[in-house]
Amino acid sequence: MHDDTQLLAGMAAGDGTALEQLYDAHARQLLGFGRRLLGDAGLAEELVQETFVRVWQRARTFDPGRASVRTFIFTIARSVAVDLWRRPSSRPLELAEEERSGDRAEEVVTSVVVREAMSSLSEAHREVLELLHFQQFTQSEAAIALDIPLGTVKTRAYHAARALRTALGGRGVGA
Amino acid sequence: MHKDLGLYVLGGLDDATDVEAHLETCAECREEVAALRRTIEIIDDAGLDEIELPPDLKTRTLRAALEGGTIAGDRPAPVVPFERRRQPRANRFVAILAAAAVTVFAAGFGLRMVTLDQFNADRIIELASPEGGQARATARIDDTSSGQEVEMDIEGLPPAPEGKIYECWFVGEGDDLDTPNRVSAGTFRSADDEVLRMWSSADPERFPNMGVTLEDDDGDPSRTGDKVLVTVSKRPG
Repeated sequence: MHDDTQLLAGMAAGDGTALEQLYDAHARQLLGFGRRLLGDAGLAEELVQETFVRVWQRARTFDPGRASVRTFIFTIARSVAVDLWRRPSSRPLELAEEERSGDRAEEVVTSVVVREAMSSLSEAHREVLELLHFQQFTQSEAAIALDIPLGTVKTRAYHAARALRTALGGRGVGA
Repeated sequence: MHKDLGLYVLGGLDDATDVEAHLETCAECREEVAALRRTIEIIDDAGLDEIELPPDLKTRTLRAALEGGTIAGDRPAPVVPFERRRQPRANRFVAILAAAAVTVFAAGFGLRMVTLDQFNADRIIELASPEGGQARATARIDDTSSGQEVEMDIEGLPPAPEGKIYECWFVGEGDDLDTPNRVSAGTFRSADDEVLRMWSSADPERFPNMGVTLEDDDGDPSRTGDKVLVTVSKRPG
């Protein structure tokens, strides 16, 4: 098992095995990132695929002195998400078979409402919530990935959390 | 309102000492933090993180990256020339069903014993369907002084249709139908749940990849058929 920095170095040297290991380590988080940001299961899979294509192609440009591998990957994933946002898409977020079955009806309703609330936020607010909360980025990491000043991360984080609270409250969920 | 409350609730603060000291003295901020935390708990409880990776996404992703794919998807299908130059089969290999070759039955007991020869793979090549299908294979390659010994374990490949055969190849850079750069490693009709064993003198430097195509069973030794398995990753054994 290698650490991520070694994997990036291997990828820069053309080692497909390193890419495979990096996929195993980060694909699930990236898929979640894509689904919450894009609200579409198919687009989220495209985000995962295209992110790893670009990470593979740009592995040589990775500078461990500037950012962590995770920040490097999510910075690329964010730019892929921006490309995908621009693509017209009408596919709704598809519920899994298990969710349609009704066995978890209450959870599913909450889940759908929360997804709706997340989708109603601005892209800027969704991004900062996604990175800070779901991906557990630090303020500095988020600033690099979003290419904004540290202070902006701070204010945006607060407004994003408030906006989410309002969006949930408007749908009858929350305090 | 304290300027760090958002980061504090979302977990992005490296050092929360300052905020926590403030919260001890400010009821308004304590209420705000409690409300924002309830919001975060709601999204945590909604199970948005419970996501299973589609099983074929990895293959698609690795193939797209290693074969230079883009978000636009697959490359256009190759055009098959009407008449193709016939290539001499420079390397003729014997493909055998290794399972049949190395399986013996203990007389009198009906006990199936597998006595695979000692096989030390120097390299492993993973293959997958270029169309996103279920077929995949693992080729374990032992580089010897006389060439390469290959064991290929194939899954999910249906038996070849009538009049067709599968052909296994060692593939070099820049290979396509117009400028072939590959040598055959043998043919087979069905390999599901079996292990194929092949020998080759192909130079691994010149032909680093492997592939399987579906060919007409017409005696033409050149590749004219579609790819059913292509190399998606390589690693040391």
